[in-house]
Amino acid sequence: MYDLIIIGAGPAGLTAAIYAVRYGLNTLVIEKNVIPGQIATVTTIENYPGFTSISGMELMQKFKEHAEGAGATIQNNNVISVKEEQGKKVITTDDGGFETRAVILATGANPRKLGVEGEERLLTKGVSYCATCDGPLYGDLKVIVVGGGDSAMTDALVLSGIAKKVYVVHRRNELRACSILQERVSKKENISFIWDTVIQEIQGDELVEKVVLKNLNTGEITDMAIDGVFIYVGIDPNTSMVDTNKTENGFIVTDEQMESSVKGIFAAGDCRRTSVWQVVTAVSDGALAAISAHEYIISLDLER
Amino acid sequence: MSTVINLIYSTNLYNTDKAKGVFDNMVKVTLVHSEKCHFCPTAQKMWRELKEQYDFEYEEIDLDTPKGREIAKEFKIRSIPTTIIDDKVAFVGVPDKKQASKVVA
Repeated sequence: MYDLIIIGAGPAGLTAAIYAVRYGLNTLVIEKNVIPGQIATVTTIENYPGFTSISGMELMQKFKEHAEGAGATIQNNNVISVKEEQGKKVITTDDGGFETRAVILATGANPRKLGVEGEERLLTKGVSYCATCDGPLYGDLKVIVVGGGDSAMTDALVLSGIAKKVYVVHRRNELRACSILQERVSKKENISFIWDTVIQEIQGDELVEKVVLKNLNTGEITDMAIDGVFIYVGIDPNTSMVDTNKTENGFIVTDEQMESSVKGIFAAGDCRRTSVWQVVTAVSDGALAAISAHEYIISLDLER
Repeated sequence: MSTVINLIYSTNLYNTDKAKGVFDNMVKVTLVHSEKCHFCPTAQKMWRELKEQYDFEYEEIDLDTPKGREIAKEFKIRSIPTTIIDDKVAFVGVPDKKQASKVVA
C-alpha cells in the first residue's frame, strides 16, 4: 500500500510530489498525459517567479525533471474512481487498482464550453480552446477569440501573429485581463474588439464558416463570416472520479489545509474551490496539501 | 491534462470496420503533430506503442514543415494531433487506444 497517491502531474501535483518524497512518504503520481498540466497549453508565462518568460511546456518539463530528480515516480494512467474503503483509499484506473493511505487530487480542469449550438459539432473543425496548439493552422484566416480574461488576451496575442485578423468578442465592455496584456493587445493593429456581445451560434458545414452574434445592449443579431472560434470563458474541474463536497460547478471544497470533506483526501490546484487559478497558487496548494497529507499519515500511525 | 479534454479533443471520425481495406493492404497511419502541441506527445506515444504490437505503416509529420503545411491544407486540418488513416482523417485529438487498436490490429 502506498502512503500517498497524487492524481495529476500539473504544477500542484508535482509540487506535492516533491514535498511528499522529501517527507519520506511512499508516493505515486498518476497522470494521464505525457505532457501534463493545463499550463502546457500556454505559449508564454511571465508571472511565475524565477522565470522572466518561459513557455508552459518548458515550465512543466522543468517541474517534471525536478520531481523525478527528487525521487517521485510518475505513472501514465487514467484514474476512473477514488473511494474510501475501511480507512484506506482505493484508486481504480484503466490498468487496475491501487491502495493508499492518503490521496491528493490535483486533477486540474478543462476549458469551459460556451454551450452554444454548433460548438460541439464543429469542435476541431474551427472551434478550439488552445491557440498554441491549433493557432498555426489559421495562417491568413480570420478568427474570433471569446472572453476578456488573461487566457483570452494571451491567446489573442498568439493568434494576432498568425491569423490575418483577430476579433475579441466579449460580453462586457471592459476586459478582466491584467493591464500589461490589455496594453499589448491594444497595440496590435489586427486585433479588434466587439464589446457587449455574445456568440449565439456557430455555423458551418465541414468547417466553421460563420457565427451569429448578439449585442446584449441593443439585442441586435448579426451574422459574421469567420474561420475559427477560440473560446476562453473559464474552466470546469476534473473531479467526477471522486465523491466529496463540491461547488455547483464541481470544484472540490477544502479547508485551509487543503483537506476535502473526506478525511485523508486532499485537493490542490485548479480542481479546488479557489478564487484564482494560477501556477503560483497551484504550487502553493500542492505544498500545503502534501504537508497536510503527511500530518494525516502520521496521525494514522499514532492511532494504531 | 485530463480526461475530459481528451474526450473533448478526441473525435473519432472514422469507421473502424472499413479500415483494413478491401484487399487487406497494410494500413497506413499518418500522425500530424507539432512541437508546440502538448497533446501530441500522448498521441505519438500511443501510436508508437501500437506500432510495436501490430504491423502497419506509420509516419509522423511535423506541422511546421512544408510537408506538414501541405497535408494540413489538403485535409483541411484545423486541430492537432490529427491522425490520417490511409487517405481519411480518422482521429482528431488523442485517439482512444481501443478504437485505434481496432484500426491497425
